[in-house]
Amino acid sequence: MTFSPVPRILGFVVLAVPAAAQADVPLSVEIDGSVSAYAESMTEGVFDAQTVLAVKSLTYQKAVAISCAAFVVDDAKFQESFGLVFPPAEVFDALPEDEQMKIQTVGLLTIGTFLGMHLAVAEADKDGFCANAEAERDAPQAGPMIWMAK
Amino acid sequence: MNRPAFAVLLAGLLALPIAAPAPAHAENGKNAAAVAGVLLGLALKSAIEENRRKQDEQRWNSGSDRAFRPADLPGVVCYTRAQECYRNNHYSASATRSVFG
Repeated sequence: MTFSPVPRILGFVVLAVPAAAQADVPLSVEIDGSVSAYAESMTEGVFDAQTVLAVKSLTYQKAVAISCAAFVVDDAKFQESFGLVFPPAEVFDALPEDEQMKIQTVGLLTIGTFLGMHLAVAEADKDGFCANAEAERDAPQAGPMIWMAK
Repeated sequence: MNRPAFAVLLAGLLALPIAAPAPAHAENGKNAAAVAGVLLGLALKSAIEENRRKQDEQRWNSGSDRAFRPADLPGVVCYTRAQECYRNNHYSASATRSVFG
């Protein structure tokens, strides 16, 4: 993992939410946190943390396009993004067959796990889910986007 | 392997001589080996599942994780150990990237 949270976290220490407030963690956050932890555990030894995070982000955007009327996925960008997340063809083809099977199986499970989670969270609070997606689209740190203008 | 998982495995292994009958005949010996194999398999499965559950809990435990609100990201709450951020209770890839890199 290449995350380097320390410098920013230090700046936020004084703003930490009191422990008592953490008893009221919203269900959508609990679901996201638990399922993401499970996905990370499931992919151990197959994908690195950045790959898992990229799959989470791409499936989130796909779920937004399915759940929110104001969004549509650019299929070409979607395929291109997944091509960047998983090993390129020349690398994949050179792997032993059992490794290929492992990558394919775990890859599909990860996509299904995240997509299902995002869709379930969206269904429970569609207005909030779609409002957050609008903010994500406008955020400067949004990262690779697969949505197209509608 | 963490301690509880190892304990489960160890408990399974320790149970084997008790579960297997004394090998008075060859057939009994085969049965004992089969029982031992099943028990060992179950013990291993339990150990792996327990280990995985503990790992998941270490990654995500909202009760013990430290939550904070980044001053420059209104409506966002981030979790230190999970390294995830949420805007108005929904996952935010942008805030997560902004805060944790």
